[in-house]
Amino acid sequence: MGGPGRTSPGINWRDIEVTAENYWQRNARRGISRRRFIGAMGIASAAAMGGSALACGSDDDEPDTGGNGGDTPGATPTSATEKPTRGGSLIVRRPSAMTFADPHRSSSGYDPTINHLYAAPLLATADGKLTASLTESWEQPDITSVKLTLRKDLKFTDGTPVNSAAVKYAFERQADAKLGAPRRSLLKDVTVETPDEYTAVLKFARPNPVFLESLTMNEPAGLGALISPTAHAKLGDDKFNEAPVSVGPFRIEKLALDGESVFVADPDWPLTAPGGDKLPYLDKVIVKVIPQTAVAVAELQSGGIDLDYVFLGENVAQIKSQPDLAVNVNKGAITQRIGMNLGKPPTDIVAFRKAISHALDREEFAMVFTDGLGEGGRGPLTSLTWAYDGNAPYYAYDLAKAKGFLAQSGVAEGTKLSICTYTSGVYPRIGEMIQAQLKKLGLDIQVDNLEVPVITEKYRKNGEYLLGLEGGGAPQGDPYQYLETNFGSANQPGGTKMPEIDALLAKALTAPTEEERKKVYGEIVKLDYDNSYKVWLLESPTIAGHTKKTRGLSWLRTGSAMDVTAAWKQA
Amino acid sequence: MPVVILMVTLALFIIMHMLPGDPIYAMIGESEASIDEEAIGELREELGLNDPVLIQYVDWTSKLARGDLGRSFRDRTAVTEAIKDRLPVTIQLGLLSLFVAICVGVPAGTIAAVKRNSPIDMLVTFFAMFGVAVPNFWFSMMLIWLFVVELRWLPASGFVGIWDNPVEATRHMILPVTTLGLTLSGSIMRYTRSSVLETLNQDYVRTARAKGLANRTVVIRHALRNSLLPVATIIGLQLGSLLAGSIIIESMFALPGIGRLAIQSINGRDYPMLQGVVLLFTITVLLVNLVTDISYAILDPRIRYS
Repeated sequence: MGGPGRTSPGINWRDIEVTAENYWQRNARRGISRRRFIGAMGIASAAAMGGSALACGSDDDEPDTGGNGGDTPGATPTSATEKPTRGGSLIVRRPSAMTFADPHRSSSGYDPTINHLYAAPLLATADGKLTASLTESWEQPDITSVKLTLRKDLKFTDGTPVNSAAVKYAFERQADAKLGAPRRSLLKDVTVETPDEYTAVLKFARPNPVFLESLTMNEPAGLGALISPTAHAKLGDDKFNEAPVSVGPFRIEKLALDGESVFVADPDWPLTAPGGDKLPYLDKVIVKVIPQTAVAVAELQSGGIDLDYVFLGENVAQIKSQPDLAVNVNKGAITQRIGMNLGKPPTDIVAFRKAISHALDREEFAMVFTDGLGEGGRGPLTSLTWAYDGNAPYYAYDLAKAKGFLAQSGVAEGTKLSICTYTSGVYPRIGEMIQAQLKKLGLDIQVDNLEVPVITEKYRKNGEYLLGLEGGGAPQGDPYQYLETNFGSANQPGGTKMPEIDALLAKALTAPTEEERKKVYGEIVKLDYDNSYKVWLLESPTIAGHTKKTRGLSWLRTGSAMDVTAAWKQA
Repeated sequence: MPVVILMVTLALFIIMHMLPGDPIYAMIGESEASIDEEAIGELREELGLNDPVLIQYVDWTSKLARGDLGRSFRDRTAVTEAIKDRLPVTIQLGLLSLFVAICVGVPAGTIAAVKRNSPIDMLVTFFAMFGVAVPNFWFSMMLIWLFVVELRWLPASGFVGIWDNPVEATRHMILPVTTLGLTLSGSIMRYTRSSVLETLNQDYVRTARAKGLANRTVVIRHALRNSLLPVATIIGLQLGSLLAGSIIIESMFALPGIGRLAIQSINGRDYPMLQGVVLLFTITVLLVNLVTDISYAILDPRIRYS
């Protein structure tokens, strides 16, 4: 079963462009430039939205977003003819204060600042591959072990060597309950052996072929980050968080968790660009905390910052209106979906869930909320992971079919339901569009915009809400953790058990090759489709705005941030 | 004063615990990693969240008596240290904004009273109503649009210590101080105007004029000083607006002050940090009220406290 293509039928985009052009020409004759108009309108609307966000107590923090990709219409990568300029500094916006500079304590799914400071044994590239970073090589002799051979030319910023003892220290520290590391559960049954100074062997009590992903600085961020055992033992947890000692392309000059941090290039960083150039090119990266997106846009327009990678679709026109700025879109980096409590009526009825799935016009969501840069959601996996199957069935908008399923479910028209969503970003407005579209089906939806801990408690933990708008990074590389989070029993709203899914997830862990795991993941995707466990609404992009002089940027595989290690600034 | 502080902090403690949203879930964040129930249980025990609310409050007050405000749930830093780090930002913003508000509000209100029903009065009244009516987040965005995006004279975000770089420190504070100061000046202006108007109709002012004193002397030396008593009260009462305004302004202009700390503590359900911030706000308001009362005696020699 399938639906129409991804382009909305009946819309002639060429006509719309011509109309828009005429509109601007008319206004230009009246003395209002397009740039000024967009700027003023953007600021005014952002002010209104910023005000409402402040009124809600929001810090303008986006929910955890990750993603993937490498689609860069903004053309920031260095072209073959360009010679990177060495030196200079890059000012990058960060939307919220950093709680921990210690990667093992950070609860963020992914933290771009930490990524600038710390390197991990492996590196996940945008094309879905794993490459060496702190290692010379790695191998996975079987599904219960991973052997890492570390580079011998690495030192932490305190001058101590990066060795196998540091790998063991990092994992054992996080596994210790006293630290309260947020990713401790992933280290259960993991032991580290150090046969020599530069070889670390990770042993898993249960098969765990997907653990390799955790040895990168991608999600779950920080798990694989190495810290100086000597410095940590000397400083203790709290002092270490104030002055962390890392190994990575940059080192700390000044650290202000809720202000301006300055990172300088580490002269001893041995990794080079593909052409052999020493990295990083920049002398400094300055990270500024700017909570409000509207203020960040103003800073970008005035030259106060060089780069911000957490813009929304509505910011694009404003940034593009200025000739010296560019927009860089990372398509499909975020998925937004409706999760359901599968253990309570009426969302425990398959036909009812299918009715909702057919009643939502995903292309309209994509047009409205991503400025046309995103696409309607089709399923849990996207083309950003090797496990994606483009032929997998998906739900298309079909109101008649939706009404048929609703009748089949026995749920009466006019039934009232509540959906919870976040207070920030586009989420409240997505909730309102869901409300409007489901009204056509005959459902009376109430949208509750809640803070993150309230959603976790009331929706995820207690299952008080039957519907919840969820968002997060699209799966990439091996999608095991993503599928476990979305469908596994441990994470179902209200604690609904998912034995079939759990069995498939367990089967995936015993499958040694990607091809075999892909088949298992395909079965999970099929189960999701057959039972409509979730409504896959949107594949949204992450959007960066930057000065055109900033070159060599690339999206990190998490998709939520850009890597500045190979960035440089045109003179 | 200690009774008021205890009542305020107890009320806040109860309200915070009644709010939905467990602090443990705020600490975990919304990372898509599994919720580790075992880790949550251990964390809850460690933070004392399994104790009844009143026991938690008693524990907090007993630590407070020893000068210990506890440690943040969010990042485990000492609350006193976090407040100490951020206090200079808020003090700087608050004092400068108050200074701007008084410097604008009192003279403008006086001029409006003296030039009653003139175009100047109408202009000042319009300005005052604008200051009272306009939300400071909107006003700040308009200033940012003008001075940051269009003119490119000033930065829109960040804080620089006055001793680190006085020029940059001043540039970074102009917009936040102007926003907060001008929005506060509206009500000061209105009260000054009505108070001066009332004073100008007093017999002693007529006598002063009859003596042949210059109009400027009559207004400044005789009328204004006597008009300032109610204005001083209003300025004292404005402190609440100033603290509330600092929460908005610090978030808008990315100033790492107490206001932003309060927002972060509320969002993160960081009870110890929020208790510390509210305690600070409470003490500040009480002290300013005391200073306002004392200032009456300075402004009006007839008032004496026995």
